[in-house]
Amino acid sequence: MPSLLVIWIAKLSAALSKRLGRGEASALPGLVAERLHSNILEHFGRQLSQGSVLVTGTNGKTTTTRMIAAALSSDEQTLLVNRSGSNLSRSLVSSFILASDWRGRVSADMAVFEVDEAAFPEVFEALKPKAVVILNLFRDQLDRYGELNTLASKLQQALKGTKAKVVLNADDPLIAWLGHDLPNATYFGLRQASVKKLDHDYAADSTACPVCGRALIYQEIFYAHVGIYSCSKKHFKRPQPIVVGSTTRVTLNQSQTTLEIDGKTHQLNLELPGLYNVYNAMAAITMASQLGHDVTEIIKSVESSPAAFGRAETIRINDRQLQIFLVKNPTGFNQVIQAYGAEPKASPLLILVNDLIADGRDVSWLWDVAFEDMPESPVVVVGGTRVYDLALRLKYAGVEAQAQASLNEAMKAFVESIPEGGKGIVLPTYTAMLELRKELSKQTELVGMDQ
Amino acid sequence: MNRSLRIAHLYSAEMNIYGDQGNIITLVQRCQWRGIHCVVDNINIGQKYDFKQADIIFGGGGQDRGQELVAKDLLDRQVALEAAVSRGVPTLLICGLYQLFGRRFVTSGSQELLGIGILGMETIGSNQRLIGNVVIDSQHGRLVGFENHSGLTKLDVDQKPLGRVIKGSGNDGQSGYEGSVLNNLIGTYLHGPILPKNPVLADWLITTALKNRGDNANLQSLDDELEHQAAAAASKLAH
Repeated sequence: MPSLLVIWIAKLSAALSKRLGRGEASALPGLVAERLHSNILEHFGRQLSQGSVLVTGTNGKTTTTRMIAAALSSDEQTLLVNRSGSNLSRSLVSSFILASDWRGRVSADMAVFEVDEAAFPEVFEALKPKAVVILNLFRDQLDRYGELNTLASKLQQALKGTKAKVVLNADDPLIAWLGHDLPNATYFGLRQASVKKLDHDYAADSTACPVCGRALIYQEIFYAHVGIYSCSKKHFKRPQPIVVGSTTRVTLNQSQTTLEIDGKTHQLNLELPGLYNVYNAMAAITMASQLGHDVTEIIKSVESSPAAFGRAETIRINDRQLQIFLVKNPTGFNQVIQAYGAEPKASPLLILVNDLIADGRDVSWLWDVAFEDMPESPVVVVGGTRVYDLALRLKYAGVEAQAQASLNEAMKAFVESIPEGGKGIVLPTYTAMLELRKELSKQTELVGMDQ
Repeated sequence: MNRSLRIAHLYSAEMNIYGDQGNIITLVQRCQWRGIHCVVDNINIGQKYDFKQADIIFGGGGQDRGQELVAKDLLDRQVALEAAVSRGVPTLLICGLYQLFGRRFVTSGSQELLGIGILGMETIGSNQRLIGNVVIDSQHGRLVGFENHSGLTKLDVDQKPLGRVIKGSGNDGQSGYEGSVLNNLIGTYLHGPILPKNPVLADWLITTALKNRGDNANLQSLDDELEHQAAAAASKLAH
């Protein structure tokens, strides 16, 4: 079928779905278009005069994509950015369809897309991006993604022989190894981190040398398996980053990092939680500087790029502040616990765990979260479809929690536990976050509600 | 009486991806709540270990890649482990290590890993993963968990299974059997992890270990309401 006809049909399906009150279903037009035209993503990709940038990895895709978009945006070029979480091939096609006119022309010069790590090979092949950022690989939804090594070798296959600029995390061995035969690879990494390490980090993965399989020797571990490492038989060591960070302060609300880039030092002050966002920012800065942008300008844009929804988002309700941190997997969760531990005063917590497909059906991962490292908290309320699994996990970590089967009851108990003018922390899985925002939107106005 | 137990955790670094660590957390806590002191020995590749000191042996699931190195190392411990099983040391093996206690595991990439053959069974990798909540009926009553495996395990006719599948796939999705049992060894595909939601099984491991030490005292009962609520919720989700 000719591509223009496909775009019309897909546009119609989008309009219809909106009309039927299904909202702007992000996947539907893309799904329809891909069914009718298997190369439609490639077709769209060729229209971008400035090419595309892809961001992938387990954690931090959405935030990093936003940061890169902020750094690259200018009056001279229009960027196309996908909506948070809509990162499968069909969702990217949808983004193109919504951004194209009735003549099938895309009103953008360049695309910055976050891409699901399992969907990356096919998207990479279709879009032939000019640059790629790979952030990290952590255990995540093993029922859906499978095992880390398998995922890593698929990424490696996809990147083989590419001429694209590839920006990699030097401190994650699985990711750094991807660059060993790529001449265009550059790296970002930390020199030191000012955070207290967790005592119960059960979720460390991929610490074996990719050549000989021996355990890597770590000179420094920043979190999970991320750090400064080498193989005892000298097969492989952490590559030298071109953007090197040293953090001086990392909390739930902010971080301060000194960056060394090209022999110069820069200060990076983020109003985002945890070490993981320092990594996200370093990834974005490396990417944008590789694309020729000025470092000082990039840092300014990255610092002021707003948090994606559900990622360190603050919502006000009844004169109380709710801070929402999406939790998807043990490593991400541990990072939040680490930053929570750095707070001067532990605020009440609401943890919501669902087990729908987008969250992962298997909740075994809760036992890999370092709840044992949680500071004493005044109140912990738990909810979600797997509320009892969560409460049980907390019981065995010595944390007393109030279990509420209904989200509304959980919300109510939680908000009531926050002193007036005070702050509470919400840690939901993906679909629990969507549900929570829906409930909250009935009670208060949400900004940046893009889903 | 001053009671204490020693748990040998096989390949805690290599075989740890599906939350199986939760089984150790559960054993340790349920001992501690009863004043039983627990020591956990993490046994990793190449590490010398005398299984005679272990009161409970535990091993979990890992990535296929880690499994190769583990399989090789496990062969060196075959005699010691076989002796432990015949002594009646309570042993719980999940997924990856369950497979390696059989005769062999042929991965979906047609690579053959030699197992230690303590259990009369073989596992063949398939291209499809069996994934989902599981409910089985066993000699320990109804057990719930979550399975996620591509290996299909066939038991020899004289190999006793852990139980019958009520909901889910079990060993191979066809036989209706889940897991294997030999003496006080239990092998199973149930993650979840298995012990927190099946406290009966956790307590059976602890009681058996204490009995082996000549301690026949009853275990003090605990409030397991939350455990049962979580198990009920999980079994509702199984289909």
